[in-house]
Amino acid sequence: MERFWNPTNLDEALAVLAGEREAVLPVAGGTDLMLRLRQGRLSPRGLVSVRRLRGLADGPVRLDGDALWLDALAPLADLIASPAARAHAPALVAALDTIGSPAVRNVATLAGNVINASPAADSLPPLLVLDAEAQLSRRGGSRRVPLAALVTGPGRTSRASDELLTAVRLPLGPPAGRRVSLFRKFGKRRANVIASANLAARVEVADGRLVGARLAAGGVAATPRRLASVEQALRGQAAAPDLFLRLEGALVAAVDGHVAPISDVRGSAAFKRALILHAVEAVCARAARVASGEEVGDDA
Amino acid sequence: MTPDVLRFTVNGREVAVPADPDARLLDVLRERLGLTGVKEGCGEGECGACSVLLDGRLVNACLLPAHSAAGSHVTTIEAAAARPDLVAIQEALVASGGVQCGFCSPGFVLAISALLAEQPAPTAAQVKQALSGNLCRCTGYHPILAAVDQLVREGAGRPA
Repeated sequence: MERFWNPTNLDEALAVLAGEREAVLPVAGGTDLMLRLRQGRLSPRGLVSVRRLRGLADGPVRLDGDALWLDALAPLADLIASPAARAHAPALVAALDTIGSPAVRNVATLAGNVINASPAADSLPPLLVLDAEAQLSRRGGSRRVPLAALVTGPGRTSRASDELLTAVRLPLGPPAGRRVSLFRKFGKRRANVIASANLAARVEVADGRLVGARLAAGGVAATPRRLASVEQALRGQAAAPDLFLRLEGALVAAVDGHVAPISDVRGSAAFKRALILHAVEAVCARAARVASGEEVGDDA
Repeated sequence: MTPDVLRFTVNGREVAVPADPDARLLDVLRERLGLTGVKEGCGEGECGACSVLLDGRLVNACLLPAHSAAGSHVTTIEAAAARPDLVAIQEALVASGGVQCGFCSPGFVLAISALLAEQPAPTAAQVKQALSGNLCRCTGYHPILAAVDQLVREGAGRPA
């Protein structure tokens, strides 16, 4: 590698990317990229560090009327510590708090986790559940892309080589009911582990029924994905303690229809399917407890 | 490969050293500056033996591109020579049996320092999370957790 750029402002970084295109890669915390460089799996002419840049002007998180904006270039620890992020995106904060270790979260960024596009990326299921949009900046302009359209395959995104992921926008609609947010990550230990499978959910409960159900899973397909038929099976159902048992057949079929895990060092395909189903059961159980008043929702 | 000059502050001392574009902070600290208290364990960010503080925050020196530390303040275990708060953490670890082979100890001392700087009275869960990126193959961790308890009780180990 010939060169390391350490720009102090966004324009400078975008100018380097515009000039060098595929020859250089943006690097944030380096917590994944540095390993791949050393393993010889990447050989760029140079790296452009985004460590001194900020994707938002006034702090890592901005509440902006109908949306929550996250600085994709800020350390994950700064997003996790944000009261606004905890209030409006609890499942996402829970997910970010499982990435790596404290030392990793002090330098790693949302941009890095998203653009790495690991099938098991912990930030992606909650971002998909929250209908996140990515703000991509290039010299002289920017565009907004739904997260689902940005991540196109394992390690692949639709980011152009002169673009930087600078911010993530989470639209905040009025809740249709009491919200229940959940993130589950399954792995051999809690820290420094790549998920065998992970799942994020946000369901809404009103008048004892599930009026909204949004779920996404990772580690079980080429990219993290929404579980549309699980959502469909749950929507409109009575949020009673027997919810999962009552729908078990349909939920098993729905999970099988959406996930296509591979057997690898992180578990067999059958095991990963069982993990996702287990997490769906946890979503059902929490929804029932919130419906009965036994537990409060996120927005209580 | 042209080694650009990297300027940053290490343990309060300003330094300027040539560093290859793809050098890790770990390489510069150990090979160029002789700060061998920073250990390379796994070299993959899994074990925490290379933990240092970057502008007061715990990071893995084995993962950080050296040049991204330009202009920053880096603290390694060698800072203990002039830092009674770090010595207090070392002594608490020794007293509790939290040091055996010692390879992980520099990382643990700095991880404990970062925790106490932010959280003078951490819960048990906060302590475990703060130390979750540091592996110790000797002690079984309980003596290390006991050392943190003792430091919290005595109000010791916090940076001035």
